[in-house]
Amino acid sequence: MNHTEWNDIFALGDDADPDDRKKADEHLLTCDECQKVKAGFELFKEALLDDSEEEDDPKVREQVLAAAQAQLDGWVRARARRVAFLVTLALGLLVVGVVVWYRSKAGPVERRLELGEEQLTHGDFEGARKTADEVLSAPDLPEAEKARALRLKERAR
Amino acid sequence: MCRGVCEDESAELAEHYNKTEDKGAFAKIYELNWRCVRAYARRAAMLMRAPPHEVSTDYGKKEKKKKPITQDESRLSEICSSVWLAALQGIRGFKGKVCFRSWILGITRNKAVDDVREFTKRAGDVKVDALKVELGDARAVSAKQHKLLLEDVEAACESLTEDEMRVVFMRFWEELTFVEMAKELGITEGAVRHRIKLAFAKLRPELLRWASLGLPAKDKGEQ
Repeated sequence: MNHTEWNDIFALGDDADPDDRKKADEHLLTCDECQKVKAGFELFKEALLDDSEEEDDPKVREQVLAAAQAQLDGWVRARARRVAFLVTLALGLLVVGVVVWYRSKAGPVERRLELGEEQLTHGDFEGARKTADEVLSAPDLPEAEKARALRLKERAR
Repeated sequence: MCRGVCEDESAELAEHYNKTEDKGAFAKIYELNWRCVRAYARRAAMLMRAPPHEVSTDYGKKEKKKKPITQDESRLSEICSSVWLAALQGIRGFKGKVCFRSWILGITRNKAVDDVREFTKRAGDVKVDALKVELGDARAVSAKQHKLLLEDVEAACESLTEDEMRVVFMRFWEELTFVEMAKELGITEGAVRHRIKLAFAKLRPELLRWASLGLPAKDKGEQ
């Protein structure tokens, strides 16, 4: 091998073929020029990687740590928003569930009376009167519902 | 992946930061890495043959004197800021697949190159010759300490192309394997090996000279 070929093996370092590296190490023991290249390379690498004289800029540190704090605050806010959204969603679903449940629990007389109220609200007096009559014609009508039906009929007149 | 024995405390801290949202963890990451980020930003700017530029004086006037980026602390600070802010933005995506140092130095390289590219566009026709640095007092210190300075590295790297310099930096600074470098650069592993060999061959005369003298040639002459 000539110097250029040894040079290539040194260049690849740990990634060179292990057999080639072994040969190169043996060659180094006897070759003055390659020893110098290797020594020069170590100097080069040391200078290239030397960071001992770097000085931190306090402004950069301050800015970076402030940005980190802002990021954390942002994450906390985003999480709070997510939680608030989920709580609102859960409450909404709860309300809807309660209404559906209440409606499903309410008897036919109750629903007819509510319909009469709605008709009244929309100005359908005729419809409201009819609904009230239907309710009043029901057998075994409790007193409270009877009174409400009469009030509805009265208001629809 | 980091090739050395990499305990990677920063990766653990990043994971901790993401999980617990503890600002202290990020402060510690900064503490562990600011030095290598700044040093690498200084060197990575060499990749693009960063042109020198006018410097503002204390009175707000523009000095005629040109200053290379490797010596421009305020501009390096700007690059470092943008590196750390980008790291903050991307830290949730850091999954520890590479060592933290490689990850943040990859960001540093890109930011430094972007900065120089942007600056070059604005600087227009600044000549590359203007990059050469006045060695002055710093060189005298180097001679005493018997070690090379960044300026020596810069001078030696002048013979390398941007691509060759890039693989040298990725190899020694970011500690990437050839496979990772090939992936990052979008070339084959063989091409990466070829570039490394070529770079090393070009550096050889300078390496020989340094080793023969024990010091950079100019220093030895000065002694």
